Amino acid sequence: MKHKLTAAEREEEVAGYLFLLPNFLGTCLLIFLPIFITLTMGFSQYNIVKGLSGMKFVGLKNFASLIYNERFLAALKNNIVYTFTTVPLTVGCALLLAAILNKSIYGKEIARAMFFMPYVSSMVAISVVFNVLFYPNGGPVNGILSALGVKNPPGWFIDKDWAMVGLIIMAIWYQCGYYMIILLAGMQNVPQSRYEAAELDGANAWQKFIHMTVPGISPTLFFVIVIATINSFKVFDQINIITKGGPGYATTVLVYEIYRNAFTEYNFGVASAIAWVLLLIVVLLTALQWKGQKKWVNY
Amino acid sequence: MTSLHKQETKKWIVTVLIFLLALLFIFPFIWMISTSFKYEIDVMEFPFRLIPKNVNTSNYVTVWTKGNFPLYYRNSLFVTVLTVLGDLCLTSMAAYAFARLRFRGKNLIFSCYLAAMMVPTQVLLLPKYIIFGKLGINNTHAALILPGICSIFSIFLLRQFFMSIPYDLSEAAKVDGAGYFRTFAQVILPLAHPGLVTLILISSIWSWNDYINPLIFLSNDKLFTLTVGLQRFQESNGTNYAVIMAGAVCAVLPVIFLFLVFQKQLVASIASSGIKG
Repeated sequence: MKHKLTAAEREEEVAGYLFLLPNFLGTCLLIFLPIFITLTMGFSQYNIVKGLSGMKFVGLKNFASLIYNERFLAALKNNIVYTFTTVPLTVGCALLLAAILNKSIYGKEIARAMFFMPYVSSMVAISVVFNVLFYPNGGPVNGILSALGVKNPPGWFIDKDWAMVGLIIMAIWYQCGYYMIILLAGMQNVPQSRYEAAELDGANAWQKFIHMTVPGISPTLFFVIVIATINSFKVFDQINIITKGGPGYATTVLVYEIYRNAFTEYNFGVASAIAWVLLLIVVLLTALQWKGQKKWVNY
Repeated sequence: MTSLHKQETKKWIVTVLIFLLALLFIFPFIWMISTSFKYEIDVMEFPFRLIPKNVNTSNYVTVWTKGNFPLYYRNSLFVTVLTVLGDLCLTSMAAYAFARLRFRGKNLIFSCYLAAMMVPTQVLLLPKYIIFGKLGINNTHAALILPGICSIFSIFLLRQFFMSIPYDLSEAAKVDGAGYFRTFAQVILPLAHPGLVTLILISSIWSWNDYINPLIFLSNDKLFTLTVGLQRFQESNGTNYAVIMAGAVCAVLPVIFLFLVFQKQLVASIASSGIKG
């Protein structure tokens, strides 16, 4: 296999390295090195005064401490609840919307843009707006609920039983249009002739949706479910702006605990251990996606 | 004839239903804009009006004259423009190397990039904070711009576009005596221009909306970008909801404008490649 490079090949190789170099240096410094630091810091004690040279290996101590860390356990539980509610609800809504928009309706592009608009907006602005929309006394959402005859409308973000529900509603609204667009693209690849055949057999809209559309886009659907799950473990912005993890521990999540431990408690070892947990979850999900990709492609 | 008629009616019914739902989706935006033009006293009235009883434009005057809003705007603009330009330069060069050039170690490096792309940025905040501390760039805009211009996602996006350009064209340029840089600048880049537009769009929306990085790396109010600035603005304005909404409108307006103008490209690119998260 080994052969001497010709002058032209050598020139191409040098060009390749030069083109890659600026980005490669940046990537090493800002991505590869931080990954390495996070991974080692999970097993060490970090002394802020001494800096990186004062890092001391402590084995699994940081991880062991997580087992008794109430806030972390609450964050893990909340994150799992958040994932198992937002993902099915968001993907379900996205799937239905995509199926309807895939049909012939008027003004398809305008409707698509309207559903997608939340996703391009800044989460900070959205959080600021939702905070007022869901304001317990006199906010429009509770106003509508009262008008509909609800006796004691919830306190939403200031009520520990309802804060998470508010965040879940927000998440569905924010991401639905995004997944809808990916699913819509998948649906456009399902051959039209299949539908025509089904129509000849007298299938109704629901039967076509279940027996043609869903199986036809199963690879896309699977991809969307995994991406949505990964994203649900990265939730942070709205939580830091609206609830700060509260009331109590009601809405704290993994990234919020990483942030809090690192930047308000200066507990770098614990923050890195939680980062490890998050990383493991994401790596497992990504591996699942790669495995599933092979299995689920069905035509 | 009747069946055609029936189909037409059905199409209209579905259209109306979908648009009612779509209106519900943009209701928070409509409410935000409407509230920003209200007097404070009218904000929490019920039944709420979407057209204010008395139109009040002074909220916008407050936003732009009291506090640091114009400064936040300028900072966001500065950071976004530099991030996008830097991203465009470094990424297109790296993507060109990955897509069109042969060199030893390419597959290995590319696999490392692929693996690193999976790592959530949230996991790397703390080490980045330590590294930036060593470099002395914490609490400067460089701490936001540098990570923004080294996006692996952008490389994947552009590599896709570069690989689809026919090889005959770059071969022809080579025969004409063009070096690699001229081929890149005069053949590849112009032909990949839809890819570049997509990159500019995604990169600028991402940079403009970025919240967690300025939150962590900036501590000086004078350096804040709009996202952290808006949060600060909200906190300092307490229950002046109309003023806060006017601030929110100003913060989302540029992105919404960009989205409405380039809607088609953006939707097409997301449909094919997702967006960076």
